[in-house]
Amino acid sequence: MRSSYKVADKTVQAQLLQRAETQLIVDEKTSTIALKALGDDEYRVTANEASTSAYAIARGEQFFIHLNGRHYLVECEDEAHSSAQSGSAADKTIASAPMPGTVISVNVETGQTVKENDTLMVIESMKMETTINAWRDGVIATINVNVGDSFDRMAALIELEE
Amino acid sequence: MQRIISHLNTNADTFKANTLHNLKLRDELKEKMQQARFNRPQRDMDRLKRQNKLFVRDRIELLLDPGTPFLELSTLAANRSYDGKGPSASIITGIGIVNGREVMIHADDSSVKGGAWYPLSMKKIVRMLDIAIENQLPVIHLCDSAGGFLPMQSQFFADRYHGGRVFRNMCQLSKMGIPQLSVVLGHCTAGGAYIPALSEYSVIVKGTGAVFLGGPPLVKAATGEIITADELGGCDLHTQISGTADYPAANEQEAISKAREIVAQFSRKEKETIEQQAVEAPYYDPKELYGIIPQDNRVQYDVRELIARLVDGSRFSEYQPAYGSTLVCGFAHIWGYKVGILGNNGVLFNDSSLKGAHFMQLCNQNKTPLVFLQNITGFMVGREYEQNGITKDGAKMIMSQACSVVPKFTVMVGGSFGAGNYGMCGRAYDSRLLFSWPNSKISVMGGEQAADVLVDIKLSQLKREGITLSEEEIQAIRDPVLAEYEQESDAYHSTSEIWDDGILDPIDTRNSLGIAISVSLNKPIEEPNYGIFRF
Repeated sequence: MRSSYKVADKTVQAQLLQRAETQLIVDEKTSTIALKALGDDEYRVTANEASTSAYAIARGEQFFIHLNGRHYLVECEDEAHSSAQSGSAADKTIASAPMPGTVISVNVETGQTVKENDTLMVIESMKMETTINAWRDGVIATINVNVGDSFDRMAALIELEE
Repeated sequence: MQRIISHLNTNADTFKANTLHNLKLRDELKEKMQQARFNRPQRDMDRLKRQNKLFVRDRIELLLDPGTPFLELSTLAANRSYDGKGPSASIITGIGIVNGREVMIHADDSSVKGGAWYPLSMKKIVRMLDIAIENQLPVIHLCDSAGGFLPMQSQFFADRYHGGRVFRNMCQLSKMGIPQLSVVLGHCTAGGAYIPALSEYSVIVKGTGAVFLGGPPLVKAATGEIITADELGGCDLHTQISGTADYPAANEQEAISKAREIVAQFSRKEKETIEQQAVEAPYYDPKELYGIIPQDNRVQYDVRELIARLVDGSRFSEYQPAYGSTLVCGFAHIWGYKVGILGNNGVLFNDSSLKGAHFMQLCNQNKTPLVFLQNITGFMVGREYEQNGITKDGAKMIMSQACSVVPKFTVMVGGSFGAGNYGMCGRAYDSRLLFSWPNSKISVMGGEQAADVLVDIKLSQLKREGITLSEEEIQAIRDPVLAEYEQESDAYHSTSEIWDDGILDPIDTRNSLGIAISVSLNKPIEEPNYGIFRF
């Protein structure tokens, strides 16, 4: 699988091939390239026999490149991440209890608008306090438990409107 | 490998409050360490000077390669024993670099009761030698001890892991072909005399160094012979006549440079090779750990936030991300070394136990060391879970963990209760090194639960006798139990009893693990092999 990179908001597929000479395949185009580090983040880049100098600095998956008088930000996209489909949490409406326990606090009211990761309630079980957070933006439809209530595993604790 | 995406809000009030709280814990830790390392009565320091002896910390400084790390172990051993008068259990142990070789160092601290060994000193030396055996590390002993602290002899002499074990372990190391070197800088009396005698190499300082089975007072009592320590077992006697010691030295500096020269002759064995890649600093700042660790261990948080601040590039390839979500398992790199990490995200259920057991087998199969981030209140209890076999699934996890052949490392990052301690590689399961964070707590069950259980038992006893108790009387039973649990479950108690190898400032965890992994690879990894799993 080729790696994908984001350059100026455009995603390109690219791969380096170490053959007799180094080849760079970008989308469907193949070029013969050579790269020589000159020190102080400066490089001599030769592509299809034209040669120029460039500066490049890496920060994690981001590369800041200065080439021919222009700046470029290149971001390396993670293979698994870029191939992943968007999550399914959006369809879920009910937060069910991960284990039996009791309710320590309820932090929202019915009809309240919440944002993803807002704290909805805190439960306690096996000496641990677990926070139930909003898994998506939404509106509280029903709250099925009160502070101090005990519940079984899989009990529907709180629901968001569809 | 995919980077963990942190959901930590560093502007949140809880983050700021946690940070304040944990920085306070860190400062307390640093203060206690500083005291244990350097706070000595002036008369003891004066005595060292009079005797022409260096302070133990200066000896270690001279011995180590400049600018290299020294992973000191159990600095706060005995901090809750002997009225706090035996700092570090009067022994310094640690892993350091001498002439480019990883070595274990054991140094007696004669500024504490003349370097006398307390029961916990013995435990610390035995543990130090166990670490050397498990990681095949050469040992350098800087000897300067008055011998066992006689008033407490019944607590350190005769049992399996008492004094005799020190010398038994030394013999085992020698048999394995791992060299030891003793530098005799003070007295090696009685049992202590066997330390240089059982070492492959020894150096002794003229004037101050002496080795004898019985010191001058004992000789006088036994035979009436009146003799000085130097005449009885000094440098000249042992290097010229008895042959008990190898190299004479005019002073401590010469002895230590001789020691460095000897270590330079040790041949370096090839290390076990595991997956390794170029080192990358964590993408997320490890200082943010202070804002993640909750003020109350009961508050749950995502252990991935810790992992993101410990591993290279904050990258984590998570195993079974959607199954058994209360145990987070996955691969990462620490200082370039590939590791398999297990971190708790809640109680261990059937599925999380099975996932853990399977994941550890994967790591054993592909020679990946295991790192346990222990924050566990236990395996789930209740009829539904028993019916689903929580006990036998927990047993599978313990079997897989206990039989693992790859090096294991444990960090107590939060609570450690009940069988959760076992499943997640507690002290009994031979982690190569086990560290605690200052906030961590260990006990067989939570204090509140223990108090409730004891009150219940008491109440039903009294009920049979027809007695009922008032709220106050019940409270009077609960309170002492709670107080005792509070005291005996905290990290300073654990480390005092040497249930761990030291308390770490959380941000030092990554470096400490890096050294630990490097050292562990001195020992070849065997083929995986397990006992019977109950299915």
